[in-house]
Amino acid sequence: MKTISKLFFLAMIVASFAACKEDDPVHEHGEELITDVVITMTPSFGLPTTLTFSDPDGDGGNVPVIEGGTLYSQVNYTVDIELSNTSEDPAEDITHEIEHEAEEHQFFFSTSDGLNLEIDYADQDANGNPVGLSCTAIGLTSTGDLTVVLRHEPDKGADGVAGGDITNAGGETDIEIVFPITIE
Amino acid sequence: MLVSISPVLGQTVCGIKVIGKVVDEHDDVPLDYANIYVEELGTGVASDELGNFIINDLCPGEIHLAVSHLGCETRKYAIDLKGDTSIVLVLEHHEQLLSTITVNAHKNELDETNAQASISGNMLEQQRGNDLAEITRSIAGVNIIKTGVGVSTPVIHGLSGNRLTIVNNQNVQEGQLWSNEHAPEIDPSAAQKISVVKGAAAVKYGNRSMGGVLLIDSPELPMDHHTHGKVSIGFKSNNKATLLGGTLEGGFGHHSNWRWRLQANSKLAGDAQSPNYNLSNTGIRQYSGAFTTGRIGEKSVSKAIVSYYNAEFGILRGAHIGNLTDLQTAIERNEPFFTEGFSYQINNPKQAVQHFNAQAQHKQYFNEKSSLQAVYNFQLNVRKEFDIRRGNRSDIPSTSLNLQTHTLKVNYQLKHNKLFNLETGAVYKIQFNRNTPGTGVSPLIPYYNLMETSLYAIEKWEKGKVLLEAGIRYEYRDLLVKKFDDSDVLLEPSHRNHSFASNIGGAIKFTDDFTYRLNVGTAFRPPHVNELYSEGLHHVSASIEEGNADLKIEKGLKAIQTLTYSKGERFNYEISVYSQWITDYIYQQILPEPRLTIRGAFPVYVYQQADAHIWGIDFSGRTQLYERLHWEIKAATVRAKNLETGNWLPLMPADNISTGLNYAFNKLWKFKDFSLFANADYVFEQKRLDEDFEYAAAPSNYWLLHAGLSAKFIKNGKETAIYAQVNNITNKAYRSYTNRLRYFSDEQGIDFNISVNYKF
Repeated sequence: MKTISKLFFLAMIVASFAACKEDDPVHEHGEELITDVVITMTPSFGLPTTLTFSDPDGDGGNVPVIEGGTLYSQVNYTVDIELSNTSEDPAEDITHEIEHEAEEHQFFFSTSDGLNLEIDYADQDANGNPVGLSCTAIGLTSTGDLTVVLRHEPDKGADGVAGGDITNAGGETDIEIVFPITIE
Repeated sequence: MLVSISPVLGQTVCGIKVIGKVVDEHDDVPLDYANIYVEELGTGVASDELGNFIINDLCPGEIHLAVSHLGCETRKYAIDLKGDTSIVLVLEHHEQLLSTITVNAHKNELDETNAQASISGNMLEQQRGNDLAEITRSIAGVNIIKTGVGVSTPVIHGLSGNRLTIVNNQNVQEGQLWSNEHAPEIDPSAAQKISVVKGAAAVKYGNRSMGGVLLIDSPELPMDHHTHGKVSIGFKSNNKATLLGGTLEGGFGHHSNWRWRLQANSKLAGDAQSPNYNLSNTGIRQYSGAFTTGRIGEKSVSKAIVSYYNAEFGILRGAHIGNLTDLQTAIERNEPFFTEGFSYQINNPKQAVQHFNAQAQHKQYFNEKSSLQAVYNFQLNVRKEFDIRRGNRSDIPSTSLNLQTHTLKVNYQLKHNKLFNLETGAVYKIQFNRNTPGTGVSPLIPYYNLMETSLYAIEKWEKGKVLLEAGIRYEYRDLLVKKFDDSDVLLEPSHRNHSFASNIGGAIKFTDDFTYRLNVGTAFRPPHVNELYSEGLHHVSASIEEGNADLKIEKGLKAIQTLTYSKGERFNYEISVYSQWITDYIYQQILPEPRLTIRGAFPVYVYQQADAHIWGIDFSGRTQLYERLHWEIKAATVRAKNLETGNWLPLMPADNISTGLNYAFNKLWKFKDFSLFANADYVFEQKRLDEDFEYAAAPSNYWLLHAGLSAKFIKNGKETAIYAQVNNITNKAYRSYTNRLRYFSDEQGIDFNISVNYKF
């Protein structure tokens, strides 16, 4: 009985000691957050067009701002995609992270609502598969939506994936943005 | 002590006789038809109507007697024989010595007004290697919610998670059980008995008992002071799982009242197989161990337990998705993405869980009428969840939680009158939840400190064939949360509540065969921290979950009535009808506008409250068709409705029925017990859906067939038991509505199980 009461006494001390501990949680920043996407479309002549997505406070809070753009018909464009996390100070360059893990990432482009725009990959990862940070594009007079998707860990070897067909790609979507586009 | 031995005549040759009597310690009532098994002889005798028995032809030396009564677990006694001996074997059934395995002296005793059912013995051994929730599913009215293969959580009458209390060795299990994606951190291999209380039992078990209570009991400490043990080895073909387990138990010397037990179990499984493809990354690694020691004194029982559980569960790789488009693509596919060949490897996504438990308890009997028990319990739960992450972050958990709980409990029992029994007590609990920094992800469950103080009293009145019961519980709860808001400012909201629960019940034995039980109980459940403050994306469901800090306490009223018809071995039938009204039932309501994020638009679910009604029927029965042939049937149905929206509540188990035949040979070849069984389970399609929660139609109905055998033989007084079973014999490809990964893959296909237990 004595040992047991001692045990309980000890337990009470442990419990009350634990109850006294006061600490504050550490703030965790969403490290993998992508807040800004800038797609620069540079024509073979004339001024470049930029498509932007911006959601500086991340998911929730304020609604993201998406800006599409106007392109010239039948003009060759080079397309460069830049990603960053501006919630960090200084802003984090995510493009670099994607380049570093190029084998695990691929962009996919699709058009809808009558947009006539063709986008082709102009870069390769170490295995010779496309990534999509650099592309070429050409379009015909039309208006509609361009959907840009970034997949993490897609199966680049699956049927049609290297050609830009997302159907068999799998993986998970890190980015899916719809930009309104006019081609004139 | 429980055994008293007195030599009658001194004899030194074989042919020694043991004359004995089995009695109930409480009132010295002789126990008839108790089995007294002599391990050294491999045979046994039964006590007669006056509890008497005689064992002949024994030799001097130590013998081991295993005494059981009316299907209860065997209790062992060691006797040093010098000559003819008379012995009184005392079975104690009213108090729960050293553990909660009750040796029931009167099977028809009206001890409970609530509907209860349990699994033990062969039924439990047969399911070796299955997880806790899967095992409880063999009870009518109990179902499971699964997340893939290894992660499953029990559901009693439609309620699960925070609405269900799991009591492990008399202590409420404290884990991260707020999500359906969390399995209870318990290895059922260490259990000897698993019981389910189906009614509202909040008075006795506290605020999570709205749906019911799951009781898990380890075996009692041995009466025998010699070292004995058990080794078991098992194998499952479907996921190539190997199961290893061992138990050693004994005493500290001849004259010591101290006993000890050491248990260790492991399970190592690779990818499970659906009939048509491998379920990649569904492996399981699970280790558990426990050490128990205790002392049975003249008027007291002391016990200490230390246990540890460590498990790693792979989550189907193809179920890790980024947004609704991915989910839709996954639903349309036949075979999940990332399906590869069989592997034991566990990659991300995965869960790694550790649970440590330490308890010390003491029970003092003051006299025949009163006793006091005190229990201190500490639990540490560490949960890490790993996702597929960018930038070499996959080795960093995206969720890393540390939950510490201290509980101090005092329980006083008093038989203050021939007819009245009082049980009263107090529980003090403090709990700390911390997020281990460094995840790089804003935590879903914030920092919190919780304190709960409860007082309860239950009065039982029993006279002849009638039992009445009434109970009340008061609880004070103080919750302090610390979390950052959108502008990175630390908020410290707190919630303080006073709550009451009450319970009344009655049981009546109309005739020897019919018993009727009625229990009406109220229960309450304060909103869990995730319901108040979670905010984030759920990968499995591609949805955003938002907490609601204004949630009030959920209150329930459950009425359950049970009619039992029991005619010896021939007929055993039980039907339970229940109805539960819950005011301010907390549920997730979809917002009309999806939220636009960089990964596209997501549906947003916010925790809301509305009144709900849950009702249903459980039925189970066993009939003796022919001497050794039994037919079994069980069925369960549950309906759950949100009374404000008129919608069905999601994730409710579909109606199901199960039937089987069991043939037990008395003796077959060299086997002592040999039995064969075959079962068929039928699960209906769940047609009562809330469309807002379903991304695809509910899976259609299906049949599953299982068959197996159990065999025991004894050699040199040691028992070897073999259990073999084939699940899903037809290798049927099916999906289960209550599997959260049903959108991604089929369930497991055919599975051969075998396990061998050797007792020494």
